[in-house]
Amino acid sequence: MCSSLPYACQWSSENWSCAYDSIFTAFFSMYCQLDINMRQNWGSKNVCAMLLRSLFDNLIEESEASIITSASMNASCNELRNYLFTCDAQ
Amino acid sequence: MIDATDIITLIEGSADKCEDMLYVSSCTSCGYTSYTSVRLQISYIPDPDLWQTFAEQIGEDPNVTFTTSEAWFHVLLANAQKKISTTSTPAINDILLEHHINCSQFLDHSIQFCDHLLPSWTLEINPLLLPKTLPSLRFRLKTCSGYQWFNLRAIIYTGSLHFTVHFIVNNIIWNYGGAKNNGQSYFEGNIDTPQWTAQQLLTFEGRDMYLLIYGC
Repeated sequence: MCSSLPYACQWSSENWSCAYDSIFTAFFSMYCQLDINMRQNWGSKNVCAMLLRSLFDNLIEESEASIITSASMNASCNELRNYLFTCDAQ
Repeated sequence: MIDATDIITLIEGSADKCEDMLYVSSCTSCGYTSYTSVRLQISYIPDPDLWQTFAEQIGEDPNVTFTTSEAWFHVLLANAQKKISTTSTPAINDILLEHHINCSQFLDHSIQFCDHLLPSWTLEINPLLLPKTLPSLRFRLKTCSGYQWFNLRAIIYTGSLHFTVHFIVNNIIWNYGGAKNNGQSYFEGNIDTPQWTAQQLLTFEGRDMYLLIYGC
C-alpha cells in the first residue's frame, strides 16, 4: 500500500518543469493507491505507461524502505521528461 | 511552455484513448455468452454536443447548468459504446452471427454487453465547458464483475502559465506546486470532513480545475 506521506517532485519557480512535475506527481499519487493487479493492468497499456510503472515501482520500494527523497522523485520525473521529449521529437 | 495536455496525450497515445477491452456479451433469454476483445475508444475530453446527445440516456437534463464528472464519464462511455454498436466491427458481427445461429428466438432477444474497465480515468475540463462540471469525489461504474469504484486521486489546475495540483492520499488533500513551503506539498485538509465540498476544489489559488485523475 502507498504510504500516507505525500511524495512530490520538488517544484521550482526557476524552470518550466511545472507541467511535468504536476503530471508525474498526480499520476504517482493515483498509481501508488492501486493494488498490484491494477498496477500491472495500468502499466501495460503502452510503452510510456510501462516506463512510468517501472519508475513508480522503484519509488514505492524506496518509500517502503523509508529512503525516498525529493531527489529521487525529481530524477524519475526527469527520466519521464527525457523520454517524452524523445517521443515528441520523432 | 509544454502543456499538461500534451504530456497526457503522449502518455495516453491520443486524445481518444484506444484500449483493447474484454467485452462479455450474453443473452439473458437463452443463456448464450461470448467473450470478445474489442477496441474501445474513450475520449477524455468532454464535448457539449456529447452532453446534448447522451444526457437523457443517462438520466440527466440536457439543459442543466451544472453536472458532475461522474455524469461526464457515463456520457463518454455511452458515446464509446455507441461507436462500437454502430460501426461494422467484425468482432461484434461475429457475436451477433453466433448468437443468431444458437438462439432460435434471436429477434426477441438483445445482446447485453459489459466491459472490464481500466484502473484509471482522466478527464480534461475546459473552463468554458458547459454544463459546468463539479468534481465527483467517488463514483462507480458497472462492469462484468459488478460495480467498480473510482476515487478522485488528483486535480491539476492551470492558469498564469503554471500548473498546480491537489492530490489525495488516504482521504487527505495535499497542495502542490505553489511557491509556499519551498515547493514541497503541504497538508490542506481531510476530504471526509463536512467543510470540504466539490465547489472548493474547482479552483486553487486562482487557477481553474483542468485535469481530473481517478483511480480504483
